[in-house]
Amino acid sequence: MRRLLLALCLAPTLALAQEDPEFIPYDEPSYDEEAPRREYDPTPPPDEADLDHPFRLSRLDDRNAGFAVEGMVGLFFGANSRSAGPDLRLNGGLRGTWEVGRMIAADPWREALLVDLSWWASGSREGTQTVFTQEALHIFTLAPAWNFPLAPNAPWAFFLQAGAGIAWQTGSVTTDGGMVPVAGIKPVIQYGLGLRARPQIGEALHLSIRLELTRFRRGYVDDTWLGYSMGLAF
Amino acid sequence: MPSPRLLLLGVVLFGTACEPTVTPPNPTRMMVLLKDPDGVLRPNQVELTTLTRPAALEGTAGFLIGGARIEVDPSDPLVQNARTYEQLRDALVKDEGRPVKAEFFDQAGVLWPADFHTWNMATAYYHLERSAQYFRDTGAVPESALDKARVYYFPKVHFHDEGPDPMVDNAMWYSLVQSLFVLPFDALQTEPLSINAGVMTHEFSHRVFNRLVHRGAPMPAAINAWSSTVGSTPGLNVLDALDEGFADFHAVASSCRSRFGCDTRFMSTSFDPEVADNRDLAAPRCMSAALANALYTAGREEFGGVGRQYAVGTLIASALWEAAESTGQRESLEQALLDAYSDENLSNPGLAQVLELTLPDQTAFTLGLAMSVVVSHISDPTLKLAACSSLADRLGLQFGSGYGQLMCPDNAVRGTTCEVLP
Repeated sequence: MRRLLLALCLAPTLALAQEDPEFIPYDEPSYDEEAPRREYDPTPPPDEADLDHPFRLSRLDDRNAGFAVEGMVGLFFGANSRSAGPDLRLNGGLRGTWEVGRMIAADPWREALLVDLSWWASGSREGTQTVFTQEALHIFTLAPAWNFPLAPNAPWAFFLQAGAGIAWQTGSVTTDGGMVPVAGIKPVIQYGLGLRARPQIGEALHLSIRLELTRFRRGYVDDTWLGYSMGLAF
Repeated sequence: MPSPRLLLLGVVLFGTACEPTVTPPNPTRMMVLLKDPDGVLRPNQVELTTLTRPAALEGTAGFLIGGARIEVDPSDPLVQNARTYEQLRDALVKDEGRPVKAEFFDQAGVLWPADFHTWNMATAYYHLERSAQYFRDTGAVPESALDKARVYYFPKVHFHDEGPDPMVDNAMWYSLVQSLFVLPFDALQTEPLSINAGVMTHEFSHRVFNRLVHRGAPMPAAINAWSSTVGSTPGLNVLDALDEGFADFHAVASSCRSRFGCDTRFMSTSFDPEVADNRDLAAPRCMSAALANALYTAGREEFGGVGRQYAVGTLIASALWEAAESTGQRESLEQALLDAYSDENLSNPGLAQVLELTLPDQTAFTLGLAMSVVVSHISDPTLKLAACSSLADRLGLQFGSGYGQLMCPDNAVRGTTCEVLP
């Protein structure tokens, strides 16, 4: 038993101490050059992110460049200075969207992240026949949004949004002494939620549709916007 | 995760989203709508010294409440079952409303109203502050009568026994809720009442009258006792006329301290010319026999239902105005009038004290007696004679110490504008 254990311990040392063994040639197999074969390519496979866009698989499914333009209409529940419920008016605007997530390869980002540059406009006249004000309110914001698809491959996605911008108000107060211009700018914080859909209408063209509820913190007053927007994504 | 820079930007934006604040006596520079010396309404910069929260238009002079609803419904079980003033107030005020949220632009340290109602409310607060200062400067009026005036701005006020619709096109002091109302406009399409300095001072004067003459009672004892009388309510009619007349006099007197100057037709920018003419303190006018008869024989509803308290009130105010202008002692008369509101001196009692004395019998509270109280508080002999002359002339009062007569110095001479009533 002791001799057997000693032989097992010394075997590797004895093997390394031996000279190279004599090469024994094998018969070269002959195969047809035309026959299919698998060859090992030592080059590592390319990361999808390193490929140029035309070769990305996701872009084969959706060839949009990632931009959209929408027209907006809705109900603007403006702050009411006399604390008697919202100051309701119709308003509208334009919105440019950059689906900035397309710059990022990872799937959740690609379809989820976008940034809106929006402009809302509304106007009003208040007062008596002889003493009144006229105003035009413009709200400009830059606001990222994050989409949550309602289901895999669902056309609609729920989104949350928050951003900031400015409110620019122009107008005047008119009395029997004439009209005096009144204008000013206030900071705006925007936040809201909604639903967004991008049904495809062409090879690289989609409709962009949203229903949304947005709040504005305009200076120290709060406005609410309930609106609908539609446009083209390309 | 948002970056720290984004979080910092958010914090900065929220920081700029705070409403402006100020600590009195630091003034708040603000634009309001005022009459220029040429009589034209224009935006003017003023300094408000009592504001603490400009966005809420709240300060030591008063505060504005929006969105309130007051239902004056005698059939309301809550009203019928109210046993205390607090219960009655709660029964009437169905919605207490909220502080207003005026919107301003800060332009180089001056707050510019950003919308129509903010122009209205800011100007109303300015008039409140000016009114309080007028009374503060004029007489020994306690601060409790001048500060923290509650103004319901554009409330929904429905007097159920006056019709199916809420009241509009008016401003008023409502004693039961101890508040001023600036009601919404509808037919009035000229200068809103909240920016009419005379109207706001008139209503503020009712508050001072309540605080001094009625000792701040929501339901004054004299009104409570005398309004339950069936038939004629002469004392109540006189009391209502005094309240309106003195309020008009103070409104005009206060206007003399404005950049426009004395405005005896302060109603003209908000109401029809006919209304302004009827309330013009500078116009010669006399008590008619019919009006005098109604004063002493009509019930309160009949008398006030057609605005006779304003007609008699304007006669009182115009007589006082005439005396003040003819002697050049307007400020002395303003002070004497306020002194006459309440005076504990038993040998020269004020209106509050006379009301208590006459409480059992309202027929004892005559126009002559009330005007005698005012005259007795005028110290300057010349002004006293002028006031006696004008009051006796325009109100058709007889000199003397008898029932309904005007107690004046022996050398008093009746004016010559009006005929002597039988």
